[in-house]
Amino acid sequence: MNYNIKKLLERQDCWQKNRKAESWVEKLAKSAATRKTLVAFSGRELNYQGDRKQKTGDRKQETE
Amino acid sequence: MKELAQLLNDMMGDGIIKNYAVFGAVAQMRYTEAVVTMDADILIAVDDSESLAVLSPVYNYCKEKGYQPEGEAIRVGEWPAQFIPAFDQLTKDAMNNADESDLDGIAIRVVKADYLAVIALSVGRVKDFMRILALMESESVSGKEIQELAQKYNLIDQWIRFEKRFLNEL
Repeated sequence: MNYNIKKLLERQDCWQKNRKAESWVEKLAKSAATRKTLVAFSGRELNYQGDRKQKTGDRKQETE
Repeated sequence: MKELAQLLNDMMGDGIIKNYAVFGAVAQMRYTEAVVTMDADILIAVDDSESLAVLSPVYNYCKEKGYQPEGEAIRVGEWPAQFIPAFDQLTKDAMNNADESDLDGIAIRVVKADYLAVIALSVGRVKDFMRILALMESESVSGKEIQELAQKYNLIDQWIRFEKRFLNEL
């Protein structure tokens, strides 16, 4: 196998193993940090009016 | 999230809610890789879930503790928390059968993978289907387990459609 590809696969394997070893706390911290970045990029505060209403609305309809 | 876990436990201890469990993307991350989510969804049990002002005691309690509303959520530390009263048998059972997990020494109740998948099946948006696939890929729940639970909650047609659409060609 091409040496570079072998190295690349080894690195990818190592990276995936590390990700699997992440704790729930670490994943939550990563998720919160990504959300902050997204909000900063979008330049606005979180919008709960669209998706959220649809979500709770769907659930209410199902119970009716 | 530790701050939110502590708040939820305090709410239980002070009798504001009778029970709770984290669900949605935050619960999913116990089993899968990290995903981006705008808030933490919390199922809660309250005394009178039929009342229109069912969340008032929760909001008032949070306000007293210094946590302010932000849209339809309440900001607790880094996380906007969305409180959703358990509204049908599926969500009630998901909450009552939740796991007690540990967040750096603070207990927190979290909906189990099989119930997360079946709630996602019942909601049925694209991102909910992605949640089911992620939970299955992480081997946290099997198709058989989802099917059994879907049968119990009259969601078997939705499960058959999901299987045809996403699993039969794998």
